[in-house]
Amino acid sequence: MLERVAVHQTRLRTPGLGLDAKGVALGSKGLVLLPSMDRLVAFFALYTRQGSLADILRSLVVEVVKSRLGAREVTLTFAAESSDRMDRVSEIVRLAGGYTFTGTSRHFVQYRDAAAPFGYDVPQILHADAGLSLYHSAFSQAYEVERKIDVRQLLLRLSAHPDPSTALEPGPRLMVAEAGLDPALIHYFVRSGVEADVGVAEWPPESSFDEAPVVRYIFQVPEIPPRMVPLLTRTPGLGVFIPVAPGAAVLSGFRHPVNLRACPVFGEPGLVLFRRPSEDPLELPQVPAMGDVKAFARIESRAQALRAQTTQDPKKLVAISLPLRLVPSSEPWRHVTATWVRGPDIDLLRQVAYSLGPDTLRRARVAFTEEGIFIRHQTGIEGIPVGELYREIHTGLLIPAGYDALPAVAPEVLHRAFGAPTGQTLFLGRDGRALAVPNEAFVSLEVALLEAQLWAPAKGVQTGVTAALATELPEVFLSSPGIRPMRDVAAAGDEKG
Amino acid sequence: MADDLAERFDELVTQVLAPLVLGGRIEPVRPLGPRLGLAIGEGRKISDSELRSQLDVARVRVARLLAPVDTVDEVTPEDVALVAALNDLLQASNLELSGAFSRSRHAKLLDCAMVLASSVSRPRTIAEALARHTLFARALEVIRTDTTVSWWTGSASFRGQPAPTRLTRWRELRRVREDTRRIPLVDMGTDVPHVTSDMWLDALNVWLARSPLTDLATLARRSPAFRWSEPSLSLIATVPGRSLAFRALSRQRSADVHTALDRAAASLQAELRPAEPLVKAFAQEVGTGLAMFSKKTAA
Repeated sequence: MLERVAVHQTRLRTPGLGLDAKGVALGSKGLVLLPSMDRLVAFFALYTRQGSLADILRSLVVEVVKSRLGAREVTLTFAAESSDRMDRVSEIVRLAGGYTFTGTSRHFVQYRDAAAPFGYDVPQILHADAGLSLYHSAFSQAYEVERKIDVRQLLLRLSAHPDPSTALEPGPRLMVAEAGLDPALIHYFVRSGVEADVGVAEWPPESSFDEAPVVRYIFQVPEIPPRMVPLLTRTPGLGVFIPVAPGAAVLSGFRHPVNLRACPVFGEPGLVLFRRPSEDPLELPQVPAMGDVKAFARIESRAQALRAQTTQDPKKLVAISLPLRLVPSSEPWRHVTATWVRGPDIDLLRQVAYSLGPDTLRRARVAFTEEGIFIRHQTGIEGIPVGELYREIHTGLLIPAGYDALPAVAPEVLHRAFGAPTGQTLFLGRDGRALAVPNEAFVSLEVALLEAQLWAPAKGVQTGVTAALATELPEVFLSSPGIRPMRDVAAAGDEKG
Repeated sequence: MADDLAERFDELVTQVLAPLVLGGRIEPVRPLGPRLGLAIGEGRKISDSELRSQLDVARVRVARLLAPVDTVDEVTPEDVALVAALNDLLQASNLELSGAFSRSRHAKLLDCAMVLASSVSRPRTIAEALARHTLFARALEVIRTDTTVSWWTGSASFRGQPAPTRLTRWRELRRVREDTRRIPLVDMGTDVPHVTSDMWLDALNVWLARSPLTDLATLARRSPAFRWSEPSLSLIATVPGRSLAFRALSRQRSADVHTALDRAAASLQAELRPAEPLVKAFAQEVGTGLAMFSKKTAA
């Protein structure tokens, strides 16, 4: 049994226990006893939700202790500092299902509660050689320390919980791409104008059968455009991670059970990436050197660079502006997303339109101009093989498929040369002519295609009854009729006979 | 054997007959052939009382478009045989019916379906004709959805089956395009090995003729072109039958009706020549009736 500490009491029997300025019995250390490892995780989760673990982390020691009966429990020891800190810890421990003690070296007595506002003292010390003696109003127990637990290793071992809402949170992202996916991803980012940094990280071989280290590419993306999120999160080999703390990131769609921001054990310059529950986290002792993905953009070099020489004579200044020319190219066709239909091809388009599928009709956009009909289809115009096909080299700038612009300036430069008109789509003809079609002139092909049909107003107004009686169409679904499907069918000739 | 037949009967009713009347998914059963098709409905009734009740409600709804009735006759063995014939017609268009060395099965099954349909007796009473029409009134509304999936390296077509999801994954990366086409019953015979469009339309015409009121109610159809048959002539030979036929025709465009009747009269088969006066009288009567009807509605 414990004795309650009284007001103005000056002497205590427990070794290392003293009274603080408020008169509360307090040792130099606080101790938390938790029955199991999952309660320890619960304690961390609860504590980090309300405040930072940084203030006690420096003095925190987590140990597995064993009683004489063989029961194993978990203790956390930390610098008590003041009764304010101990009060906060004590409340959370109570919620997590543990007990709080205070003491200095081996003997720890129950920390104050509602029954004893100034704490407790022991009437008699346990005479045991145990490393730890705990005195509680319900029990007194001696424990031996079995092993220490490293908090960092503990947090690393915890699996992230599924939480789809995290995928929707805006903000910077880290991406990991398995080797082989990196060129496609880099060019995808460059083409799409997404700002990103890329670095190469290496891990030791996973087994002795692998000779080479495991190489993965790390991307830092300030903001992933929403249209790319489905592709990047669902493609095997790619992983999108959300930075949750300095030096730690969790896979998008998952959440670590402990608030890592309040638990600064993963400091920079290292990086820990928590993956799916079935996969071990990826640890990097140091973030690799990162560079802008634009550095990997396709380049064209010239054999000799011209050396500029300034001239003193203004008359010798040469104007170097060139007219734009389109020349046939042997490059494979890519991004062919538009066609320009004119003249006799318009009749052909009418015929082809009858055979177009509903999906093509719905997605294709068409603009009618005096120069002809322009049709665009974002995923490729191959379904409408009529007219002169165009490929998109820059947003709002298209040139004939199979042609390249000369001089070979970057598409951005070419677009700027035309004044970078907004709300217009530029079509460059093979004769160098440029036509600007307003974006609002493009309407759905589905809507534009059908001629106005004759109709007559219906006199019936019983729409409610009609809707109630409407039934769906009978639709045939065919499947395999099984082995020997004709076994019940005699020859037609036999039946006639 | 009897249990097996009962099971096949239930299968035919739930997978073909019920969706044909109520709408929804028709899943043709294994081909039945003429002998089994004629025998399967003998002495059997629809066991599911709820389904029977739903069918009755839907059939009365169809019947009331033509006649003021509150009940229709129960499904007869002849009706079931016609459902079996339709099932075999649909299976004849199923490319999974045959393998590389058995492509002639399609033509054979089509022949069997025609034999089965022509073995079914014509309606003996007006009520029977009306009851049969209530079962098959929606036959020409039956559709099949064909899907073509193309991606950056190839394409695949699926006839009456949705495309497997493995072919439509990663739409953007693989540039997957999915086109679906709805094929009406009259066009389901195209691209079937050893079966020409004419063979398919002939079989469909034979089958439609067995339900004369359905045949007349869809007279303005594009194909197969309406032609007079023994059951349809028997129907219009009686006064009540002619009234029902006129009501069915009045729901169609009068210009189409005139065209179809003229074309059918001109192509009357040799063995039906004695009925030519009846056909002409009926066409004249329909012409007068429709003219009066249009005047009345305009007023």
